[in-house]
Amino acid sequence: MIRTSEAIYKYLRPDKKYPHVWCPGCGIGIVTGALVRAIERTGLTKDEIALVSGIGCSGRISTYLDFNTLHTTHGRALAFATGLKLAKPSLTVIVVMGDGDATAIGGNHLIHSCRRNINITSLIINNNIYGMTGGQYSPTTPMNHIASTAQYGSIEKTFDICKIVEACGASFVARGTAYHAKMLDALIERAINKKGFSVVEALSQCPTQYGRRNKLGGPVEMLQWYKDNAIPYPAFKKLSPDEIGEKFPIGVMTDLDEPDYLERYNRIIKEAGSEGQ
Amino acid sequence: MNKKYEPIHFFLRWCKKCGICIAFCPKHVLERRPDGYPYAARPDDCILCGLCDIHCPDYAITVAKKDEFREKKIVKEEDHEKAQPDTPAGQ
Ligand SMILES: Cc1ncc(C[n+]2csc(CCOP(=O)(O)OP(=O)(O)O)c2C)c(N)n1
Ligand code: SF4
Ligand code: SF4
Ligand code: SF4
Ligand SMILES: [Mg+2]
Repeated sequence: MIRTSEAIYKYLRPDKKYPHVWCPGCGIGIVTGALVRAIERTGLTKDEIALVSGIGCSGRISTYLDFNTLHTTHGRALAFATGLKLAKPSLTVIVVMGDGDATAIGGNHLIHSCRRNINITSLIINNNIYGMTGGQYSPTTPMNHIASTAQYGSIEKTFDICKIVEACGASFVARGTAYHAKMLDALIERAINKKGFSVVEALSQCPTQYGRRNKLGGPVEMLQWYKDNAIPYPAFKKLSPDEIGEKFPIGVMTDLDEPDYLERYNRIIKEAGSEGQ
Repeated sequence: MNKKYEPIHFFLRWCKKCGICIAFCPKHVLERRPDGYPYAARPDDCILCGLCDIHCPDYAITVAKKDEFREKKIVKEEDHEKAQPDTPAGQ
């Protein structure tokens, strides 16, 4: 495994301001570490990768990492990434989005990217809140939890990102957490190597805008909660509804081998091209 | 022991004192200094599991064998020198 200092020298842009912008104990830094180690494991060079991000605390990842990067607008990262992938299919395109970014304003792009099964890897950093703009509730804020726009607790049902993208046709779906950082390396690596649309949901603590408001403790307690409640998917499936409580599954949930968008598109190019002859 | 080459290298300039590394070390190697920064109180107990390293949100920790630090220059010499925080202890 690449050592942290080696990863810093190789992958962090040295001309940015450090320490980075994220709050003390924010999970985004941990997830970024896992992303870098996963990329190192794939053996891809920095030039072969395009990292696309949206807007939000999680969107800041593309500022710090030394790949081809595209810092796009809120919710539209997948739209930019789709254009990029079609224009230059040889690039390995990785998209980083927040939960608000990916499932609220960008929800439509997400479901249709799954449906197209375009060969892009999505890393959704789910901190259950709009972190950057002051703690408004997002589609993944648990019901009854407090947000700056839900002072008495959210009254809306919560999205299960993995179930949504699975139902919409993604080829690879997995969930990890900032606590299970080593496992996250492996999940992201598999997602990058997968042909088709792949999604890794990384649960990540936001102590500042989510934890504090909901009296979940600081970063240590929030990571402890992930540790105590995450269950590997095969074991989770065997739990009875009574046993589930706050528990949630982690690991790979979907892994399909299906033609991706470009494969189908290239077939059309070939067929249409031979028609005139 | 040569303190510079403990198995755990802290780059405290980037540390935000979140305490994650201290809390999840399985061998209770790490403790807080009076100014809140972590330090290796019992470096000889370290099993090089790397949990503190991968859990630090600020890339302020690198774990490696002591001789690896020396031989492979895993942390650049100047970064050993620059590792201390800008604010003096107690602030
Ligand atoms: C089109 C548009 N609408 C709204 C905003 C304001 N805005 C910036 S970040 C953000 C939400 C961030 O939440 P999330 O995507 O979960 O990312 P996080 O900060 O939690 O990582 C919003 C609403 C914007 N920048 N652009
Ligand atoms: S507001 Fe939350 S998500 Fe944003 S940097 Fe701070 S802790 Fe992280
Ligand atoms: S490497 Fe493991 S044992 Fe050593 S200090 Fe870090 S967490 Fe503790
Ligand atoms: S985990 Fe990193 S930032 Fe947090 S206290 Fe330890 S060294 Fe500092
Ligand atoms: Mg968020």
